[in-house]
Parts: sequence; C-alpha cells; structure tokens
Amino acid sequence: MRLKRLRKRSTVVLAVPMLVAALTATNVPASGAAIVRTTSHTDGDTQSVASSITEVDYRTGQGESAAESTALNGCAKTTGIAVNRTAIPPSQEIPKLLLDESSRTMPDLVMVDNPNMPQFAQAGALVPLSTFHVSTNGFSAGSLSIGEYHGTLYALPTVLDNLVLFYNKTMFAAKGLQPPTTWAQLKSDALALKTKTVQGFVFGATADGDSPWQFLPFFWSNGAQLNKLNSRAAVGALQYWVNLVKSGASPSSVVSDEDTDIANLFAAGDAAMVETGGWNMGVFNAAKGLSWGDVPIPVPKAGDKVIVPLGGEVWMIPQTSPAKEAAAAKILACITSPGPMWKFAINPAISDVPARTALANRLAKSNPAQKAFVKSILTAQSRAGLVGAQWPLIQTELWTAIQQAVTGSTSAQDALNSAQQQVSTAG
Amino acid sequence: MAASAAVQFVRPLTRRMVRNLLLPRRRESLAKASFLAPVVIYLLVFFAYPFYVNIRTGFENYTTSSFINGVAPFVGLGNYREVLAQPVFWQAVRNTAILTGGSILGAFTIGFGFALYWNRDFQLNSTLRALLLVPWLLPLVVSGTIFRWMLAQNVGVVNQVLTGLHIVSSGIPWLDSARDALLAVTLVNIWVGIPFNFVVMYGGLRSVPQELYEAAAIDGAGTVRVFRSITWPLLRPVTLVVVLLGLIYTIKVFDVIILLTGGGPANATQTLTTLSYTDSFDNFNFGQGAAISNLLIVVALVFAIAYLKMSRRSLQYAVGRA
Repeated sequence: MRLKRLRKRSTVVLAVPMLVAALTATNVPASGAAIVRTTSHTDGDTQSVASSITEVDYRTGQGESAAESTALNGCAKTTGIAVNRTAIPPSQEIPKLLLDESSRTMPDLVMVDNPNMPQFAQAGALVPLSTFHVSTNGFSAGSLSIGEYHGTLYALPTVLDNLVLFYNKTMFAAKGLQPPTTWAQLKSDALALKTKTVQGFVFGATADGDSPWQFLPFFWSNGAQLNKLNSRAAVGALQYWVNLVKSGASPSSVVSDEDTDIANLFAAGDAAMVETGGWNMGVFNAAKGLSWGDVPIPVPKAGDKVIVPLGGEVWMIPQTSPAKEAAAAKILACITSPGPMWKFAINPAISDVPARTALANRLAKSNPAQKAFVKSILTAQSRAGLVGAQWPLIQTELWTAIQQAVTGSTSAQDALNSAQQQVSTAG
Repeated sequence: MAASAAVQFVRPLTRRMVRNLLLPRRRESLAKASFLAPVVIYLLVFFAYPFYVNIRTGFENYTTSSFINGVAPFVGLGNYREVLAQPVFWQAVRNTAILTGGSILGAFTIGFGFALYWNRDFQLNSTLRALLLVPWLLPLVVSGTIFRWMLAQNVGVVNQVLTGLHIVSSGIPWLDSARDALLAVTLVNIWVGIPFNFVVMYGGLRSVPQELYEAAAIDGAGTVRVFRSITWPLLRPVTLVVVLLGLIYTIKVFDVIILLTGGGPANATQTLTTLSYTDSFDNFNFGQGAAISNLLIVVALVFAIAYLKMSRRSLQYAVGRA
C-alpha cells in the first residue's frame, strides 16, 4: 500500500510542471488525490482541509515550550485549524518518529533539528513544500538551504541559531584587552585571563552531537569540508583545539562540558570566554554582576571569513492524508509568516534570529547582542548540506576523533584519518 | 490449491480437537492450560517476540528507510562481520570486561564486608542497615547525574575535598581523561552495586546455624578459623549466586555510563551496551546495533544458564542440609 503510494507520488511530482502548463485549472481530474493538491497552486482552496492536526516538536524546556505553544495556538486561531501539540525530549524525538513511521501514525506537522531532516526526505516520508501554498519569498538563502534535500524544499525554519563567542567584559577591561578576532588572539587572551579559578576559554567536546556543532566553526573557517575529514585544513583546526587544551588556555574538562555546564561556568564568572548560542542569553542576563558581550567566533587569521553551522529547527510535513497535509501546510505557512515569526524570535526564551532576512536585519538593529549572530548567519552553512543522510555517521566519527585528539589518546591526524576511513567504508 | 488441501487436512484435526476438549479428562487439561496461558502469552509477547525481532534485525540492513518503507534487505552475517572488524568493538569488549570484573569485585568485597560487620549486634544496627539501601532505592538517573556533578574536574566536590586536604595538588580529571574515566565509572557502579551484595550476603549470614559458631567457640577456634571453616564454606552457594547475578546485571549496565560520560572520552568508557545504542540511535544503523546486542545476549545467556544450574544445586544443598 505504502510503497504504491510513494511511487505514485514521485511520478506525480515529476509531472507537476507539465500539468500546470497543460491544465486550464478548470478540469481537475478526480483520479489521484495528489493531482488535486498540485493543481491547488492555480486553483485556490478547492481541496479539503482537515479541521485539526497533530504536531510534534522537542521544545520541552519550560520557557521555550510555552513560546512554541503560544505560536501554534495563535496560528490555530488564524487558520481555524486545531493543533494538538506534543513535545518530546530532543534525544527521544527521532526514535519516536521512526516508530510512528513504522506504525503509520506520523504526526501531521513535525519539527526536527535541521540535520535530521534528510533522513526522512531520503526515505520518501515527506511531502515537498512546492505542493502547497507556502511562500519562501524573503527567506535567507541559508534558512532555505537547511530545508532542502537534493534540490527539493521539504522543510522550513522559523528561527535560526548559531554559535558566537561570549566574553566577560569586566575581565577584559581589567586586563585592558579587546575581544579576540583571530585564533592567535583567542589563545593568548585565554591564557592572559586564566587564573586558578577562572578558565580562559571553554568550548564543548563531549561524546555527542554537541562537539561537532561546536567544532565546525573552526573546521569550516579553516577551509575544511565535511566530505574529507582528514584534509590538512581539518587536521589544522583539530590541532588548534588540541593546542588550546594542551597550553591550558582551555580546561581538559571540555570533553565533558555540556552546553548547560558551559553556560553555568560563564554565568558564575568561572570562565572568561565561552562558545555558545543565543538561547543562553537569558541565563547570562539573569546572572548577578555579569557584564557580557558577544562577537563572532575568531577566525584562523585576520581577514578570513567565519563559517558557523546553521542551527535551528525545521518544520516538515510527513505524508499522511491529503486533507491533513493541506491543514499542516496552512499552519506551517502561518508560523513562518512575518508577524508570528518575529514574535516567536524575540521571545526571551527563544532569542534566535528570524529566518526572514528583513526581520533578521531588524533584530540586529534593535538588539546589539544579536549583531554577532545575524552577521554570522550570513555566511553560515548547513551541516547536512554537503553530506545529506550521511551526516549522522560523520557526526559520530567526528566526535570520536575530537575526543581522541583532545584527550591526547592519538594525534589529530591519526584520529581524523580513522574517522574518514570509517565513513568511507560505511558509505 | 495448496490452500484448499491445507484446509482439508486441518478441518478434521480441529474437529477432533474440539471433541477432545469436551471429554472430562481433556477438560482437566484444559483447566491446566488456562492456568498456564497467561504466563505463556506474557512470555511470547514480551520476551520471545522482541527477542526474535532483535535476532532477525541483526541479519538485516535496517536503517531509517526501513521504518518508512518496511524494506530491510537480508545481509546474512554482514553486520557481524562489520562489527567485529571495528577496533571500537574490541575496545568495548575490553571495557565491558574491566567494568564488569571491577564492579563485581569491588561491590562484593565491600558488600560482604558490611554484611559481616552488620551481622553483629550494635545500636542503630537496623537504622544504619536501612540507610545502606539508599543507592539501591534511588533511580539511577538521579544518582548518575549527582555523581557527574560531584566528579566534575574543576567545580566538583570530590576534587575540592581532595585538593583542600592536599591529597592531590590539582583536580583529578575523573570523567575527562581517557585513562581515568573507566575507573570513575567503575567506582560509581560499585557504589550502586553494594546494597544488593550486602542484602543477599547478610541474609546468607543470618541463615548460618548459630550452634555451629557455639560449637566452634567451645573448640576454641579463633575469628579467622571460624570464618574459614564455617562462614565461608556455608556461604559459598549464596556467593556464587550473588556473583552470577551481579555479572548479569553489570554486563548490561547502561544508564550509569550514558549519564556520566556518554561512552567517552574517546570511547574510553564505551561498552557493548552503549556501542549498540550509538549504532542504533546515533548512526541509525539498527542492524549493527542489533548485532552487538545479540552478541551481548549470548554472553549474558551463558551466565544465566550457569546461574540456573547453580541455584538449583544450592537449593538441593539447602534441602539436603535440612
């Protein structure tokens, strides 16, 4: 059943341009449901739209969960489509969705971390967004890139996040230092600011997806690419991290410092500089006596371009039934429209960059702390963009290599050689 | 055609079965069967079927797509071949062996020591005994998370105390060095395992007949002699059972490791369970993940069968003695 349906859809999708050209939008063939939907481009709202949909996301934190509910409830009111929301902890979301898939009970609208989307697109579980009235005008190129798989748009983000360098203004002023812009400055500043109780620069090199995410700004800015993990540029970037730890500029605890640990260290004044994202601004603002600033992640040498990974969740529409899919598309179009997007992005529990360029620029003007984020977004890259569905494996091999090198078990070169070898044999 | 032949074959069979069920003697066996049915159904649904699926998945190239289109190509021993060729698998085998051996040795020695101590009468005996059970009662997620904080290199209380007392000059990277992490995980696992060993060994000690000790006292035997000639030999069956159960529990320990280190740093605490999890739920290579856990099941099964044999023998021993 399912297989047949998949095959049918792919032929229909291929035929879309021809259909649109051939049909005069008056004679709608009643044979295939998919055809009815594709003609809705020209036909308006003749299709049936379900009155309620189910939705799954992983915003389980108190503040962010409330923000998401507000956004979805607002759009439920605008569209008249009830949204039944379920929030699942991030680590359990993908296994749960896979089980839903195998029992054919996928929710109608799903938010996942953007590198996970290709898994579902590759398996043919998603409806291309071109099928619906979802406008992509005004979205930044980066925000569209994380929703694409093999040139087809399957998902859209509402907000984006990435990584910047947060620094403790008081400590920098005491030493008469300026926030660093190059790798050399980052290391020397960290060494200068480090004391017995204060760490110089803390990043995350844990045994999970956090460490590739934190490492990529160094990896990409040095010119490395994810399809060759053991290139000279890649080894150079990892060697820089190793040197940071070896010299004492960064503590050896980086291999177990999770993002919350990093944020807590900085908020408590136990770290002069940390690499993290906008979601922690609330924590930093609430910290007593903390005066902080943020700048883009330093680059190998002056004049280099900083390339950070595009973080952020994307919304995708699984294949369910035409009426449910149409309803999900309406909600998706609503939450990604300028008004709701802006409200969601500036919610203190979210504090991310809107996916629409005009709104991003407006954010940078209204909030100086967001400048570094908006600037970095312009050159940011998608993690799964180049490697697609191979990303999960690459990510595991990358964090293993990072941990091996940072703990000194093997050299950066050997660690990345074996990582690349694992990826090559599996691919 | 084959189907109709099957029906012709089955129909008289079922008729005979129905008739048989109505006979008085058969009715008795029906009653027996209905008492057995719940447990049989339970075992089939919750043990046999998942077990079968896990074995089958181990022979398939089962990926994310398999969930969606239901297609998982049969690859024979391919998954096993790939798993055994990975250096990290053998590292995980080594880590599992060290963790299991170390945990059992530590938890049994300390647990048995406590049992010997608590076997004597002293004030607050029962209160303190109840307190000893706390590690067992706490959810592992809670104790694991607390240990992660306590063992943190810079801000953890363990290092604060050690440096404060000048036992070490700078904090020990408990969870942050490839050398010490397995030790730290083993220590936490020992802490978790002490109550179980304590309770069972304490029960064993209590069941040793008091008159044997009285007789030994009359014969003028010393503490060491009493332990070697009475306590230890009489406790041997219980000891074997405790150690074997400990083996089965520890070889599949997962929560403690995932919470403390996530298998890191650099696979230093990667065990067969965490590796299986990583393969399945990080790499979405469910076939390989299943292959690893199948290998683990085989090992656990060996110990489980040994345990069954042992407990039967110790039961006979106990019956024979009484």
